[in-house]
Amino acid sequence: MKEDHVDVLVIGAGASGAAVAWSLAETKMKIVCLEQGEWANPKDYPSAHMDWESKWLNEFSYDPNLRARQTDYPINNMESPIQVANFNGVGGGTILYAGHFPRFHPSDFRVKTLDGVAEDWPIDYQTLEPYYDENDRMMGVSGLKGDPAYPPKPQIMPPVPLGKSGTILANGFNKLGWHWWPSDSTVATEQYDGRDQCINLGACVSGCAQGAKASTDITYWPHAIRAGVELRVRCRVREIIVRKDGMAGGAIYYDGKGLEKKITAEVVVIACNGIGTPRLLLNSKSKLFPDGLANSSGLVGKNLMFHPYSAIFGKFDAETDGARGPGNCIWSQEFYETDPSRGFLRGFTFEASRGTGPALTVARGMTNHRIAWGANHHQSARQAINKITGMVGICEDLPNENNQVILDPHLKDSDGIPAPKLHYALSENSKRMLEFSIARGIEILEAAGGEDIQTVAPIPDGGWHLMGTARMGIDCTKSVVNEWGRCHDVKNLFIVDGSIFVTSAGVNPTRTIQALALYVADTMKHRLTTLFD
Amino acid sequence: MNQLIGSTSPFSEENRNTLRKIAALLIPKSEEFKVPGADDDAVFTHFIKLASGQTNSINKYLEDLNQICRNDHGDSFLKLQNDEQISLLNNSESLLELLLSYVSLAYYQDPRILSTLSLKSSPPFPGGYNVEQGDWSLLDPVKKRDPFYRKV
Ligand SMILES: Cc1cc2nc3c(=O)[nH]c(=O)nc-3n(C[C@H](O)[C@H](O)[C@H](O)COP(=O)(O)OP(=O)(O)OC[C@H]3O[C@@H](n4cnc5c(N)ncnc54)[C@H](O)[C@@H]3O)c2cc1C
Ligand code: SF4
Repeated sequence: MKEDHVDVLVIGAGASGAAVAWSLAETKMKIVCLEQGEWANPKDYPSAHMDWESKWLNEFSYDPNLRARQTDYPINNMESPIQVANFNGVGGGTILYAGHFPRFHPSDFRVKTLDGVAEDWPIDYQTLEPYYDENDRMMGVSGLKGDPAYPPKPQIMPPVPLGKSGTILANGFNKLGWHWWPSDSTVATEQYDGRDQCINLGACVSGCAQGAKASTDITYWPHAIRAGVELRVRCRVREIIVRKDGMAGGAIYYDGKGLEKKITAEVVVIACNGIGTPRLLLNSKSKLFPDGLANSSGLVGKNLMFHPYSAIFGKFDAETDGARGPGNCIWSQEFYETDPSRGFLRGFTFEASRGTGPALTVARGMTNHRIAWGANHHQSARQAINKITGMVGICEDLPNENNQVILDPHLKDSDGIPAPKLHYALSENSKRMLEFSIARGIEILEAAGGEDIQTVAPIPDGGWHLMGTARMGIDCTKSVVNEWGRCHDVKNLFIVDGSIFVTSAGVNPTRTIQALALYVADTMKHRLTTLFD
Repeated sequence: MNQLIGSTSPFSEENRNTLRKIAALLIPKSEEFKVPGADDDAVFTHFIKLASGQTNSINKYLEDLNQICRNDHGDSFLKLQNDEQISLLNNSESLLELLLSYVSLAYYQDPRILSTLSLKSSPPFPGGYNVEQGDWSLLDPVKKRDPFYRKV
């Protein structure tokens, strides 16, 4: 049989896998990406169907255990108050993500120096800035220049509309004199790079049938494939092969029919996200690496960070947007930077969420006894549909070695590969930050005229952001990869997804994940002749 | 055995009838709002489809409900008066928790119901919605603020 050999093997075709593959394509090396999932067909997305709200809760659920497709792997979340949310397929999590696209702040890379917690990053905002800009062009970002919470950044498309919900909430922030700004978003407000503009379907987190939201299947991947990258779907990697010299040699994977295959490579790049990557490394045990690949520090799988989320919603007399319009609307970073008088270190972002569709509004309202059943039902439901809006608080999670991903001794995916198991607990700092965010959120909603305010913290199914489980650093005893994404232990093995984050910041991570992937790719290109030194 | 032979329904006929009655009690027909109840054929079919993901739990809770009916009233749920049925349901928290969300999801995705709420009665795509820009002058006070991110 002909040997399947490539120069670069990328594993995972999500946010970071797409970016790294596209960037490396200009080297003209032979690049293959293996992805366990499939291409999405926008016709299948819930918003193209009448029962879009229940489809979103079932076959397009962001909980992989509920979605349970052949292309998903189960995750044991029993020992975590927050459950993992993801999507497995070309585009990865960007198929279902909301498209909120904040950058980190300069202070986020210096948490130890500034606040005496966690570790500083081995790189800084200035290092990533050109890659943020490049990624913004590739993904197409909508937003407004001049946000005083940030250093200046370019504007590519106009911001998403304020709408009814944004207007209500902006008034609340203004009454308190607190910061707010239109959110940076990957929802295209104009036609952009072959994408149509947003028509306010409001179903972004179940896939954008209009193709307005920048998922990487419609941004990076078409460019990468045109540039010569081969993307193979339904290929689930079981383990990375290790050569006798201790270098990565390729991977063993199962194709869509469950047949075992082997591919060899000069360089392996892992982009399987903060859960899939440690799972793969821990499953890649060998004589040379008995504790899992690249794990001499013992930190593979450790320091798992989510963003604990609070949710604060209220009812208004005025009409809100409900599900109409992109979920992205406005954000506030009034409480972003550390102020120790608040009782916690670091901070959080408020992101306004316009509202939900009629079915979900009533389902939630009835199950939490806010909407009556029986004789008064219709009156009560009419007082809630398109009358609710609010926000979520995205709290910075600090790394803690006890929060970790391990292999479940029993649970396996459909190919028999051991599944991940989480151990995760909220820190006291996170609990205080969540409480504080709820108190401030209530003040905002009250100032905006809201009543019957409901709060949740942490959002139990809100494990959307997966970070820290193979972190970067200069000291090989305290990190898994170096300052440009190369594993300390294996010099031709790179990691580019959210697992290399040192800290989580208080913002959604994908813009930074992709900027990091482009930065790692660029560093590789500059060092091609000395890559393994 | 009360499972219908040859039926693909996950629920026996009796349980389907009970579920249909419960659906009508949870979301009743309304003359005032000119809407059918959740026992309407199309809504109920969708409800059963959604509920079939939890067949075992629902069948078990229905069995418990009927057991209570027989013990306390000497008859099955379907034979009781409306007010007795409502009071029993009020005490069946686990069953309600499951059914309320299925019933409302089925009901509020029906195009006829959405029309009565003056909402779009077709899928969001294509067509989408209009969302107004809003009053961007609301941002003026924030624009006046000095940059407040921490310099490092
Ligand atoms: C509902 C939802 C809403 C979100 N909203 C936002 C938001 O508004 N803003 C934001 O910044 N982020 C958001 N996120 C998070 C965002 O999706 C992730 O941060 C981002 O996709 C992570 O990128 P990644 O490259 O690390 O991994 P992913 O995009 O998850 O890609 C990993 C890929 O690797 C594949 N893979 C894993 N293991 C294997 C294997 N063994 N073999 C082959 N392939 C494998 C997976 O199938 C997957 O396609 C959201 C996520 C969800 C689920
Ligand atoms: S609101 Fe816009 S981005 Fe979101 S799904 Fe609809 S068209 Fe797509």
